[in-house]
Amino acid sequence: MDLVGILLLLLLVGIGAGLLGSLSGLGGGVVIVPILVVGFQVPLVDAIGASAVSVLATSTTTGAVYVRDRLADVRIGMFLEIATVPGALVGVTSTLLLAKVGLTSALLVGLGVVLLLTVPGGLRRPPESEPPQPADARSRRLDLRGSYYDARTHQELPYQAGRTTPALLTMFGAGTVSGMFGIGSGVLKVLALERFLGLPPKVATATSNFMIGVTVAASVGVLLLAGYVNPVLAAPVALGTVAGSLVGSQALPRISDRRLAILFVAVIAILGVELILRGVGVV
Amino acid sequence: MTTASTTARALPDEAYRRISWVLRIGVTAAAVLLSAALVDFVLRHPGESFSTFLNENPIRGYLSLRGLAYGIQQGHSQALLTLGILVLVATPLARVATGWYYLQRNGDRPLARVALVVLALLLIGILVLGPLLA
Repeated sequence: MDLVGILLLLLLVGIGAGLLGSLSGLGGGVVIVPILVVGFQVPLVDAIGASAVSVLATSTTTGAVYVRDRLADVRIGMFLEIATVPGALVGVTSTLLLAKVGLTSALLVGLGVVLLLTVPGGLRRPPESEPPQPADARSRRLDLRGSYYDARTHQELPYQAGRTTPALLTMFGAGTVSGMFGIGSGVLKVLALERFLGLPPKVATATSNFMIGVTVAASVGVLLLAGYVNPVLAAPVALGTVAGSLVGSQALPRISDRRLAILFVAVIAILGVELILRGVGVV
Repeated sequence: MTTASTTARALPDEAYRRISWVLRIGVTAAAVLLSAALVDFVLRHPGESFSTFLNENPIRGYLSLRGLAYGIQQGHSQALLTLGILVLVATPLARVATGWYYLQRNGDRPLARVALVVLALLLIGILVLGPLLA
């Protein structure tokens, strides 16, 4: 196929990933690397570069909306970035070093495992609020609290971030996974924000999205200057993912059927198994 | 609607509006640059195969300031593609800088220091690790 045909196909891949990713709540980045590696025979690190650019573009677009609507807690998000950014730098460095010493197969297996671990998050029902966590000394010192309007009770409900140490550690892990594989790691970030900090689900989702841009910018910057971001590959996928996620987020309130999310999770599981089999040399 | 806001140290509405504006301007500029440069690139390479550009990253010559400036001056689509990605990467950095400004103005010095550290980590990490791992 000629260049134009492939670029149009990549645009469609991006649209599909963005659409299903936003409908399932998992983000489109998680399937881009395996599709590029398996379907387009793209070298793994170049696929990670393209995926990271897509995640950066999508999270910046949606992050702007969440901030405008004051859904994201900017102060808590900026506080936690002190853990996600070093994590991303460690992650992307590990990937490039592993690729340089010829351990790409280990990366394939690692990404396959990450994809399979994502499956339970995709099948999870929309969460109820976690019980409030007692605020630790750091949270009180930094005054990490806010409030949100609860549509059910029609009340402004306050919250205060709870246990910051496990949240920071989880965020470092989320940043590392994000940097290693060019994904957003939103599932891990939301987990830390809800479970350890006790943020309400909507605030947690918006704040996670707000943070993903800065986290992924670290890895995209390193990959770009190291020569692993190929815009001919990354640009159509990124433009498609942004378009798909925008359509998906508009359609989200009208779609209550969980079958789409389950389909997306099934695709993720199949791609995860495929990557592991490739990594161990079976395929 | 759910809103995360209003505490003693909550950032003012202006900060939220300005941060959102920075993100929107950045991503729009990057999308316009990337779309235009991609179309131009395709038009300049009719009949080329995709694998040619997959095996040899077309922007390698544009990753230095001098190379990028020369490429933009000459109207090379590869230079504009590089610029598009750079604008995309710079957008969250500009967002952190904007956040730092409003935290500082709000008297929120501990979190302003955190924002400065994040910005320094981003700049040092990208500018040192990138060329080192090339």
